[in-house]
Amino acid sequence: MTSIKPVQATDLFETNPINLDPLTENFYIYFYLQYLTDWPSLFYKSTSARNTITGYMLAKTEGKSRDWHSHISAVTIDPNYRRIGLASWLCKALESYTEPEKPYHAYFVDLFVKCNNKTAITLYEKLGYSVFRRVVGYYGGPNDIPSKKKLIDNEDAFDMRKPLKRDVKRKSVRENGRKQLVFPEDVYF
Amino acid sequence: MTKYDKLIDDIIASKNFTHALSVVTDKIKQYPNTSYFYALEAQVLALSGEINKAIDKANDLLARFPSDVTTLKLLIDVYELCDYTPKEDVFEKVSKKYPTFQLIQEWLDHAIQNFDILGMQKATMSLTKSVSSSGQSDENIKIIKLWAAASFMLACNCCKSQLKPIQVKLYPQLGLKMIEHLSLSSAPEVYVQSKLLELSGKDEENLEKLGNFLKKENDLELKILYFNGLEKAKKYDVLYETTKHYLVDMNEDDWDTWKLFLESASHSGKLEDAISVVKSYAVTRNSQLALLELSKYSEEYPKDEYVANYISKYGHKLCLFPDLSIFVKSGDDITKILEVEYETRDIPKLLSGTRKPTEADVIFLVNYLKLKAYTDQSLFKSPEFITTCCTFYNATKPLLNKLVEFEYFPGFEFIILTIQSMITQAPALDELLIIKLIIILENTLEKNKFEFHLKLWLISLYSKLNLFSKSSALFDSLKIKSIQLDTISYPITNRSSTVTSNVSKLEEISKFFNFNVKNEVPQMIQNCLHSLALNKLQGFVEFQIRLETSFTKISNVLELCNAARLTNHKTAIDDRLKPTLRKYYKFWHSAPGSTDEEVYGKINDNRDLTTFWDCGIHTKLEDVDAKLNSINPLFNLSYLKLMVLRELIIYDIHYPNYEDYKKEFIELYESSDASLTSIERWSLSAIVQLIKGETKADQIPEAPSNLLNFNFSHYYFTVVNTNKQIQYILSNHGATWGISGVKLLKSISAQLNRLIKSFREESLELNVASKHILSEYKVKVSDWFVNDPIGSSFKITAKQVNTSFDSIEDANYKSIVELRKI
Repeated sequence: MTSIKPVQATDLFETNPINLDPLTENFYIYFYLQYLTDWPSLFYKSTSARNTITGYMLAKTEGKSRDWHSHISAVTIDPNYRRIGLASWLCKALESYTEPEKPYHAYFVDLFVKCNNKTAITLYEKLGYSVFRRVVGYYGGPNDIPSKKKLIDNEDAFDMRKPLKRDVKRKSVRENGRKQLVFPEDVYF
Repeated sequence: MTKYDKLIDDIIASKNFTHALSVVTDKIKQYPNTSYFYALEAQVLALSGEINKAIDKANDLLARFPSDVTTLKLLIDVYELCDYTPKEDVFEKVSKKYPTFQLIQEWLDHAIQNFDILGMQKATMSLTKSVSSSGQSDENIKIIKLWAAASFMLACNCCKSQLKPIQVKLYPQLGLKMIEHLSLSSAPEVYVQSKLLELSGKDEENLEKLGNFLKKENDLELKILYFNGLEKAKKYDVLYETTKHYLVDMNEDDWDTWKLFLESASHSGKLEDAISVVKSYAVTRNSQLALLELSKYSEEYPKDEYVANYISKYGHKLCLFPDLSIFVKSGDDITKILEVEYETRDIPKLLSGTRKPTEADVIFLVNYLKLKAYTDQSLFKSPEFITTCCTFYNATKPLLNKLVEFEYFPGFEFIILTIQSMITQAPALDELLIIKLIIILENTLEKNKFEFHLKLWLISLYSKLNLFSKSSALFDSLKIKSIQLDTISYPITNRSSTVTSNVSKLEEISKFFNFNVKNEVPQMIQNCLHSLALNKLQGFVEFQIRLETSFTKISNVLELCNAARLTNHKTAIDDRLKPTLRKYYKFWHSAPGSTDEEVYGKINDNRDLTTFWDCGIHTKLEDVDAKLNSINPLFNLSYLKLMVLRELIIYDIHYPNYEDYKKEFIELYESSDASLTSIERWSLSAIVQLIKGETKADQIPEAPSNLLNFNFSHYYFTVVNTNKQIQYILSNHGATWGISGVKLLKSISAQLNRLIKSFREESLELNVASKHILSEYKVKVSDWFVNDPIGSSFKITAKQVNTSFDSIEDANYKSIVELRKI
């Protein structure tokens, strides 16, 4: 069973079953707290019946005018609760919180995913996301120099988007997004 | 230290207080109207031990209401140094005299920095008074009023035990008064109002306001408050319709909502309607569990049938066990259901090797075994249980070869159950058993290298085997950082100062608390206020308090003290560690006590003691835990207090209430609650005898003989450490203990010196001796994995045994190197 609840700062003491996972980034305190201060309703958790955390969504809003959107910074699930649609559930919840006129009224939701993370890409595509552009070298190291002539699936990110109701003309998405190459510095809102 | 004169800072830092006082006196003559130098004078007096004079000077200055913030902060430091509480809070007193917006803002910042909730409440209240007269905009006035209202809420929710009954009643009303004419537009603002209405007992008004807001905006936090409010007020008709609306119309398939939906249906006579909703709902985990939940309200709904239904639908999902363990209790008999599903899923064919395993198979078998063990824990005592675990593991382990990077193989749980069963069945946790367990776990980890439960168990077992370097390497592979240093560093830091001289992890933890937490969290609380994320404020403040009063933070200081003593790093203890320990001592003394729910006013144990057990049957097995704790037992609160007092007795001789240290130390020692090892108990007994004026020391416990046991290094490190404590007392305050005290200490020291000398001579032979022990173990362990019916079921090869022993031998040598350093 799963419930969705808002995250409080003290929940950070309880995240080990999720954050000990090698694929889950364990951020510094201020990072989590900043999300709680700036987007208090967009950092929420799924819980078990014993009220333990089984996953969480860390999201924010950003952009101006037609670029105003919600962004998934992290969505992660306890290994015991994987493959039951929990990540999709958390993503759909984000749409329901940021799509209505109050309080956010976003045009679209977006996220970044490694180009070689096929499982995640498939999941997002099922949820209605599509690739808007490929960010070359997004996950590369500080000494790696990205090049549009040399695409590396493990270092490049797909910027995937899902339009929301406000984007009536679906201007936030496009065909052939996988062929639209940009550098990390081109991605700003 | 000061922004005014670096020279004085340097002189104070060099502890030349006579010179410092003379320079400060000159400064006062030169700048008689600068309050800061008067505060500095009091500080120098306090540091030089002239406590009464320092207090008098500080009080004289405070009576003149200095408004310079640096001066006020220095005055607070002086009072702390003198262990003196002024009649009125320093900032409060001065702010009353000069209620300027800027000064009160400083007061608020100071209260936040010092996690002083009542100070925050007073400061925000004062801000509301000064804000009107300081020409602030309407928007700013609204913000300040909201802060004050939120602070009333904080005071009532976080430190109720410190408030008088009249305050408990009055504060929520005052909070509501603050915001009564404000237009509350955002969810966090309405949250504060709702909490204050709840505290005031105005439930009707609260529900009305929440209901109205939710019609306009679907806010998760307020929705939960609304549901809980309806349940508390027993408005079951409304609760039923509302939860139904969220479940059906809004398609919010949320378990808590389902629970309230069924509860309210039961109370309002609408169970039939509720059942039709459940049955017509999409098939989801929550809706299927709602069927099980129904059995709570009516016997018409057969629990067994729904358990079988759930196992059939979700038997191949890992969530099955945690989901069902809410409904199925230890002692329930669900064997038949499990066996039917076992047959339905064609498991016998899998085990006979006539078909290949699938991922669904391994997960079902994991669930099958976990549920069996959970409902009948006597299985852990059965050798057949171990054989079954091994059979299931071996039948499904071909799937290990199909894992993609970072993926887990769920079959690791068979091995965890095996390990727990082997410990249960053994009379004690001896070295031979630990080595067998380590080899089994290492072999499992080899192909499932990201599974963190396996690593946590290995870290614990390597520690018992006195192989710190192995524990440490595994710990590093978990990439622990930030808040995890508070919650889950204990497996390698618990008594680490008694097995290694490596303090890098201790320093990293220290940096986390003293740099990251200290600098980041108060700033983020201020950001929380400025962003008006007031629904997060209580969480932020509790988060800060739990970190500042963390069990790990204190135990880390104690470990650093031990390490500093071993390396004769006296200044580290005097300048850095002792003041911190004194602060903790004062903290738990001044703490007024709190309820279990409150985090304010007590030491908070944030250690994650559950993830280690969050596998197998997801419950701590008491017998296994007791055996694990027989070697290097985890620190408990009594241990912490006892060790803090020990350090203060040694290093804080000038403390005005020094006699209290001694009295409390004896009481705690004699209460026997502390999780001490035998050598620690003996080490502390030396201090006990010193305090009691006894002349004959207790016999030192016999030294352990096996290097492959945590207690070996721990014993010698503790012996050397005790000797250094005694030397310190003799050199620095031996005379205060009288002739008999000195005689006692010298006789213990002489005993210890003989023991240490003899150990150092024999330590040259440690490598040879331990190689001999290891080769004996290797023969026995190899034989067990080949010839024992249980051992052979693990299918561990001779090569794997050899690799593990090579690794153990290497780590053992590193432990010897550490021992030779002492």
